[in-house]
Amino acid sequence: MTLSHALSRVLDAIDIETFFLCGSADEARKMALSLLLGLGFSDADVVSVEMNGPGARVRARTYVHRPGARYAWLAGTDGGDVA
Amino acid sequence: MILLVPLDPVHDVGLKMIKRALEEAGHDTVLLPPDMTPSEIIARAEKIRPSHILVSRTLGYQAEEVLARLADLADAAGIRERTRMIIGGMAVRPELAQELGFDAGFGPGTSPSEVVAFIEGRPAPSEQCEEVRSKKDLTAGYTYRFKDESVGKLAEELADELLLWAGERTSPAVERAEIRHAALMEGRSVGEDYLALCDEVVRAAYRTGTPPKKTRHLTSDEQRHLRTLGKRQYGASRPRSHAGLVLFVQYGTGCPFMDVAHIKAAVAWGADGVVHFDPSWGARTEGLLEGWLTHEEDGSVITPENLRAIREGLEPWVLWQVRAHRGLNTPETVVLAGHSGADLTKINIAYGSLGGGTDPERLAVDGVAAMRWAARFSMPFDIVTNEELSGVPAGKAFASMLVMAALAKKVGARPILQPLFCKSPEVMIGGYMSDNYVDFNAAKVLVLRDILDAPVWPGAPVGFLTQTEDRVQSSLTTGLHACLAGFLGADAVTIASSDEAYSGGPITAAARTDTLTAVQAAARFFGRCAITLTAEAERFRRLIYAQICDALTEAQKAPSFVQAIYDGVFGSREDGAHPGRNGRGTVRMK
Amino acid sequence: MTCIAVIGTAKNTGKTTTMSAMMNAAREMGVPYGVTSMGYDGEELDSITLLPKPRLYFREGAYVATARECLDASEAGFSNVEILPLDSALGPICVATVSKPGLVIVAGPARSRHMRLTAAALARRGSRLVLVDGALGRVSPASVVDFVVLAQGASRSRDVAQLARECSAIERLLALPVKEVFMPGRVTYRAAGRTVSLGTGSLMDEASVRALLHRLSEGCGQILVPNAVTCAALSELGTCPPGLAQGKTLVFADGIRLLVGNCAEHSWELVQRLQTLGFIVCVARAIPLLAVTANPYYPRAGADGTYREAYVDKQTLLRALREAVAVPVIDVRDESGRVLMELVHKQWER
Repeated sequence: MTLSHALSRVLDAIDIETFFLCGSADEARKMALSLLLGLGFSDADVVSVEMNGPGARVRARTYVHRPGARYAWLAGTDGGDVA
Repeated sequence: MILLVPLDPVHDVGLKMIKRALEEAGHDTVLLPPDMTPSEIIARAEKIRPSHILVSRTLGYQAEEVLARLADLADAAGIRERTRMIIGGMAVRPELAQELGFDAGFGPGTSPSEVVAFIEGRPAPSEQCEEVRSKKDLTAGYTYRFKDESVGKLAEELADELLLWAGERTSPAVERAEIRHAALMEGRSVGEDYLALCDEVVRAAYRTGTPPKKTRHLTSDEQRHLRTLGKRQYGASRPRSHAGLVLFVQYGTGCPFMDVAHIKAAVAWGADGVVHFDPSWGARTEGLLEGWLTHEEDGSVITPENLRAIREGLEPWVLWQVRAHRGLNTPETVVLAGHSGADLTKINIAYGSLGGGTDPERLAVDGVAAMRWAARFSMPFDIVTNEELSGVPAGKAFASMLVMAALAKKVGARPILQPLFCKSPEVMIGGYMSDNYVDFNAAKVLVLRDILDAPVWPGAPVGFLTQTEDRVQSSLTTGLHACLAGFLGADAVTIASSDEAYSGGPITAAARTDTLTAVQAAARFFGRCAITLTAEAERFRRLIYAQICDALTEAQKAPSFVQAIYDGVFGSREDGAHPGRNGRGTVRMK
Repeated sequence: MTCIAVIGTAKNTGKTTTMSAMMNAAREMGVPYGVTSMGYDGEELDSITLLPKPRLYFREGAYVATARECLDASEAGFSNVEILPLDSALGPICVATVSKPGLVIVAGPARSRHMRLTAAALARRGSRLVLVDGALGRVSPASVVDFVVLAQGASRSRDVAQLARECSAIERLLALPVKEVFMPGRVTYRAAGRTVSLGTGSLMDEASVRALLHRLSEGCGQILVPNAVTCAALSELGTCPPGLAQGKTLVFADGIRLLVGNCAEHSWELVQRLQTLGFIVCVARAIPLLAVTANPYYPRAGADGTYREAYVDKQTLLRALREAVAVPVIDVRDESGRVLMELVHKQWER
């Protein structure tokens, strides 16, 4: 089981959620995006962010397979084993 | 006889629950005290000769050694031929059971009834899935009788008039629907007579094979993959807990593969039905396309091939709705839906005209034709009051909805009322949901039920505009809205994904499972409890009822139903409703 | 066909590395071989320590017996898949020929009887050598094999002296003299031409031994214990008065039975005591120890709860083990599986 195999089986997107200690929602957004980009994902976006008190609850997303793109999970000689 | 072995005293609650389930099923059990050594346990097993030994244990590094020793000793003692050894508990997977030498392993979350089924050699219990397995007819048992006679009289008169009016008229869509039907009956593609009634972009697509912008044909490899993908039937593994309420989700990523994968995930997570979302440009274009087409943006293109592919990907009990409630292709869409084996469609003249951009006169002609087709295919359809989202007060939207329900009855169709559970402009301006999201939504259902004996299916989706991008909030609010539909005795409900408020990208499969999980959890929480409304609900009910009566009375005074739409009786410009222009001037007398 | 089980005293003692080495050597020497396991061999990371574990790589032409789900999930390609009527936690056991090389997840039977049938199926396929990978410290299915290779390692204990003592005890237990007798289904003794059986096939606890000892006073020559025997039972046997024990033969099914569920050192100590008392301790079937492999690796738990790779001094370990046992002690990392295969060849030449 390799990283690339696991990634190829992601149906559409990966969400990363966390709580940042920060000063503003904007700061939290930037940190969440850096986190995803730092992990090697492009095509990143912040889905939700809520800032209260000491920090923000953030959910950021990267699409691994967008509708219409080539799906790594479909590739295979048997015509696509989704299970 | 089953021997139950708790190796760890703190964690044998699960084992005790299983013991109870086994005894209720008529099996003899012996529960050993904890902290017996492997040899003591096997010695006991030798004496009592159980058919199964169930061991429960949380796992840590040394625990595996004890479990392995137990399996080893059982083998050396020669008892494994007649005794099956099962291990269950935290972090147990089949691979671990295999490594430890057990015959089977159950992970956390395995219910006692599943264990009983395994021991009895049956497949896992799915009596709730049995219920789902036969498609539910949402309209069964409803008479469509107007309980409120005065409203009923008004609605039926308007319906009669509209029926007459539409009977004298036709449109390109009506004609295309006939051609399409004939072609499908004969198993061929449509010809030049069809293309003459289409827009240029559609003509070009048929003649030159160039599909419209942002769409492309699937390659034959892709088509093959899609069919293989569709053929995998998984069944519903999660039991239904929302007793009787049929749960619909929407799909339409633009890509048939993604759609089928999402549909299968949603169905596995408990969805009972799926609703097709097509691209918005479909509503503005005369003519439907053919071929295996994928679309780069939201909405999956309606073509005979795409619909067939989706149908093949549906488990047999899953209800399937293909919508025809706006745009220039409504009757033909119903024809395609019928031929493709869809169970339901969606038709609403008022919404399509006031909020969907289609010309009222055109959509009235098309809508009536669509209803006739729906009747021919014996395909129920819902009438959704989406114009509420533009600002039209619920009462006005319901007035036109009731006219259409009456009309549907007259052409032999079976309508379903679809009020919205949403935070509409009317609600926001009037402050109707300042305290709770319950009273106003409840009032809608109550007022409709008082008027007409028809199925009610809140949509679309419920909780619309109450969701934020936060997945917990949006899942919870969806779950609760769905439960509200249940409390009110609705026949079905359409729910969103937890991505509903996120516009930065396509909906993910995980977001679909989020809300399905939330609905299940909320339904489990409430069970058969009921809800008590505040006094406001009655006030709202009277308000909406008054609006219905006023609108119907106004409409009667207008020269025609269609003119009433133009005049704003069923939603005015002040409300935020604007009669559409697409298809204006395309209606002609027969 | 020769069947060899690679058993370990604990997890991570080098069983899989030894298996791989033997598979490579068998292939190089042109010996057709089949592989199975008594457990599950396939995870990339240890489920507890999260440290990487070796996996089995199969070349074309090798035979394998594994659970059906594992066939589907393996990288290698297979042909001629035969489904055996033997169930497991991961589905029925299948025998297959490797047609495309790659990593294979090997999950085989946990029960002795199933192991015998699986080895036979691999032999029918064409294996001259069948290798059975052990699991954790489990040994019971090794009762059906011809030889045992013991994988000893620091993962068992960092006390090298203890590891050596354990190896020594295991070697002795597997080298007990053989008395070829037909083993009945229950604990049985013969006295004056009559056969008497206890209600069980194993000696699991003191109580079952007391029942036996009580009847021993009636006089008997040979006691047959077909199934399991625990240290507690051996200990209780040791309370037999010397006069009574003298000259009586205690026959266990094989040396593996004396290891199942027991601490080997303790088991050997108790057997020696029985011998001192006068019992002649034998086994009905020999399952000799072929060799010992030594693995200095162990997972060390850090203060933060994670595990790291660590090693004891290899030379110290090898020296201690070599002093403790008569059979060859092999470092499978540095030496290839050839040494082991040569030992197998020697057995074939006999």
